[in-house]
Parts: sequence; structure tokens; C-alpha cells
Amino acid sequence: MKLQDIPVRTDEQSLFEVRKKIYSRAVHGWFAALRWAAVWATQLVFYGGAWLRWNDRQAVLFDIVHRKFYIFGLVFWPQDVIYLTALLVIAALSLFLFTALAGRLWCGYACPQTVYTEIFLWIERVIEGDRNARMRLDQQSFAKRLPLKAAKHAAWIAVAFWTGFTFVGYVTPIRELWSEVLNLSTGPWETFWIFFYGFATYGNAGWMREQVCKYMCPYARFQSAMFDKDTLIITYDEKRGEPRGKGTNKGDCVDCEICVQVCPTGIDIRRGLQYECIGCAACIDGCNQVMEKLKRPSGLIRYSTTHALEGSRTRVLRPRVFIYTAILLAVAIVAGVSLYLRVPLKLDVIRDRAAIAREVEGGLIENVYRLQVMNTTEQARAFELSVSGLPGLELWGDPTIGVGAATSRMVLAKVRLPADAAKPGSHPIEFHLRALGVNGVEVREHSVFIIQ
Amino acid sequence: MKVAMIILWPAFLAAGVAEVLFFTVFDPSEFGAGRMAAYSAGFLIFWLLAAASSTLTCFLQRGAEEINKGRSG
Repeated sequence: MKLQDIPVRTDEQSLFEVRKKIYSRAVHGWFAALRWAAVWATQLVFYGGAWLRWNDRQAVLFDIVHRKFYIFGLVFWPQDVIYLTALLVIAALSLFLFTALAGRLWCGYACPQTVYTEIFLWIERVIEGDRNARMRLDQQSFAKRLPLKAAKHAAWIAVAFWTGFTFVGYVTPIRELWSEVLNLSTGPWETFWIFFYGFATYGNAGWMREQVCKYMCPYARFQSAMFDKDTLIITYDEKRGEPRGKGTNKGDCVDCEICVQVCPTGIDIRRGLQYECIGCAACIDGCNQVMEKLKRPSGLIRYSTTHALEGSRTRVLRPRVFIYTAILLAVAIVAGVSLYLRVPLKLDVIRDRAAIAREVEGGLIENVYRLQVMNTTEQARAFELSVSGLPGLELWGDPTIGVGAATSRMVLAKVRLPADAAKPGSHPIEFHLRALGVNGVEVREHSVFIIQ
Repeated sequence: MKVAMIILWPAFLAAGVAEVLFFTVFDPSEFGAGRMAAYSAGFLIFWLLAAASSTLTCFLQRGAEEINKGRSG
């Protein structure tokens, strides 16, 4: 069933209607375990990654203040923004590919919104109890609710603060930031962003939850464009289940509503594929538990494809999959090769604006250039500069330039030419910079030599 | 709540894109206020502008019924 085929639901909230709070029931099972594995994996990377060390520095640091991004052995400069673009293209294409193959895997298992909601729901369950206990609690007076609610929000705020702190720790070195936090001496903007991100986490995972997916997420709106009848989706087997209800001559669905109660977005999967379904598979786990108790085969709600439900064959390898895979591989290979071949040295030549050309002793014409030399490796290096392009063209002064690890340095280069060696005008020349003691690290840069 | 959400969130995304593009071209130290401050202020200004645009979109999107209802009562 396509999204468009679903009749417009009259219970869809209008812009100003009040949202009904969803009390999702806890669920255990194979997919719940998988979801928790994803929570652990992503959060170990996020919370833990900031503390890893590499080359005596933070392994992953987006040092925007010094305009350098460190990712383990790699250092990226503002000039390398093309790699960021490539990364975004790769991420987008992967999303398309996974969506075409298996629906909303990202939403169900890996999206931060899902992951933090999962963590916050867990805290809520530990403190307030499961669905029914929470519903009862919300019926009670404010004074009776207060202790549990206060405990829950305190725990939420603690997790949210740690998340905000970790986030800023990827921009400002996290160890220094931590000692600043302990001394309450974080800079004004660091403080602001810790609280901003912390507040966003608290609001999104604690309060807004499924509304983020339903009303804020652009992906939820266009993911159906990647769907076809061979896409793995979460489906209710209508043929087997209907007519639902208890008693004889009924299908396997006993209308226990477990699938609705466990749903974090509060939908009924039995209505068919809906854009609100984030593919978390909680309803599969819930339904399978019930089927097991009833001694009926599991999988009344399961991962399947429209084709499979219709009784025809599912084609995994189809043009859409080939196209996404081909583009994805092409971009990844080009980016990887170019990253591997990247020369860790950059040279910018700027002609000195103050003096175009002047005559110096010995009948020589001198042009002055400002060279920006960037050593993008993490070792200090010495480079040798040379210049060519005109007969008798010479570099004046020491051709050796030392540049510290991962820094850039501005140097003046004086280039001299015998006055009679060329006609007045502008002549193309070329600077050549070569690392000393390392093979293959060299760059060439064009400029012009002017004779008046 | 939902109106705030659909105004602030797309504006936040747009501001993020604007921030990356803008500061790829311009060095924040050129603004004379410290880089962290320039980045932060830049982002907030972009967000504000984009939110203003989103607000206007929401405002203009209201149907005749909603506007007339507001007038009569």
C-alpha cells in the first residue's frame, strides 16, 4: 500500500489542537534488544569518542576556533570543505539506499531522536513505572505526583546536561572543558551551547518525542518517495488477522491493542503503512508475545514487503538499488582516493600590493610575494622553495622555510631578475615548494613577474 | 507549541547551512569579537532571520476563515 492510498484520517491534529500524551508500553523481544544494542553502540561512540586521544591530542575534535577538524590521523582545513560535501552526499545516498531496501531503519534504530527518546523513556519507566502506572500517576494530585516527577526530571536533566557537555566537547577540547566545568569557569558561549544543546535534548527526548518525527522531520515526509513494493516495511498481515476479535470464525488478531499501546508514535499499524511509523518494530515484539501466549504462529505483524504480502516475489536487486549503490560507491571511492593522495602541504602565492616591481642593486628587478605555506601534517617540517619560468630568475635569501605541525605560516619571498632578461610586462612564473627529507610532498603554484 | 516547532526547526536547519557556507568563506576572526563569539552570534542571527521568514510564511498561510474569525471575535 502506498502512502497516497491511505484515506485522509480525520483524527489528524490541526495546527492548534492539543496533542494527546502517548503512554507507550514497554516491550521486550528481539527487536527491542536490537534497538537497545543500537542505543549502546551509538552512545558509546558519542559519549566515549570525545575522550579518545590520538597523537597527544583529542582524537576527534572539530576545532572551529582554530578552523581545523581532527579525525584520528586526518586533519581537515577550511580548504578541505569538499570532503565535508562528499561526506554529506555519502550520508544522503546511504540513507536513500537503506530506505529503498529496508524502509526506515535509520528512524527505528539510529536516529538521535529515537535513541534519546529510548533513554528518556527508560528513565521514565524506572522512576514512574510502566504504562498503566504512569497513566494512574498523571491522574493524581500535583502534590502526590511531585516527588516522582521531580526525580524523573532531575535524571533527565542530568543526562541532557551530560549530552550538551559532550557535544561542546567535540568543539572545545573536552578535558579542558571538563576542568572548566568543575571550576564553573566555562566561557560564556561554551556555557550557552552546553545549556542550549542540553535543553534541546531534554525538550526533544522528554517532552516532544514522537512530535519531532511527525511534525518536524523532513525525512519522514519524503521517505515514501524511496519506497516501492519491494521495500521491507513493518506490516500487519491482514489476510491472517482479519476479521479481528475474540471467538470462533475470527482471524488471528484478537484486537488486544498491544501493538497500539507499545507504539511510540501512537498509531495503529493495522491501518497499513503510515508516514508516522518510524519503523521501530515495537509492535512486532508486542504482537509476537501475544501470539506466543495464544500458541499461534508469530509474525502477524512483521517485516515484510508489499509484494510478499500480495503473494508475489520480492526483488531485492532492482534498478533503484543498483543506481543508489553505484553512485554511492563512485562518490566514496573518489573521495577516498583523493583523501589518500592528498598532499599534506598547501601554498598560496599573493603578490605584494605595496610595490609592484623595483630596481635593486646590480641592475636587478625585484618582485615581492607573500607566500602562505600550510603544513597540514602533525609533524614540523622544513620546505625548500624554488622559482622558475624566466631565464636568470632567482630567489633572494634563504630558500628554506620551517613550518610547525598543523600550522600555516606567512613568508615573504623576494624574486630577482636581471633587467635585460625579459621585456617589460607581465610574465608567468612558477613557485615550487618541496618538503625536505620526505618524498613526494611538493606543490607548484603559478604567479606572475612584472617588469615595468 | 506546534507552530513554534514548525517555525523554529526549519529555521534552525537553514541557519546551520548558512553558518557552514558563510564561515567557509569568511574567517570569523575578521569580525573582531573572538571566533567562538562570531560563530555563535552568526548562527543566532541566521536563525533569527530564517525564523522571521518561517513566521511570515505561517502568517500568510492562514486561511480566510481563520483571519475573519479573529476579527469578529
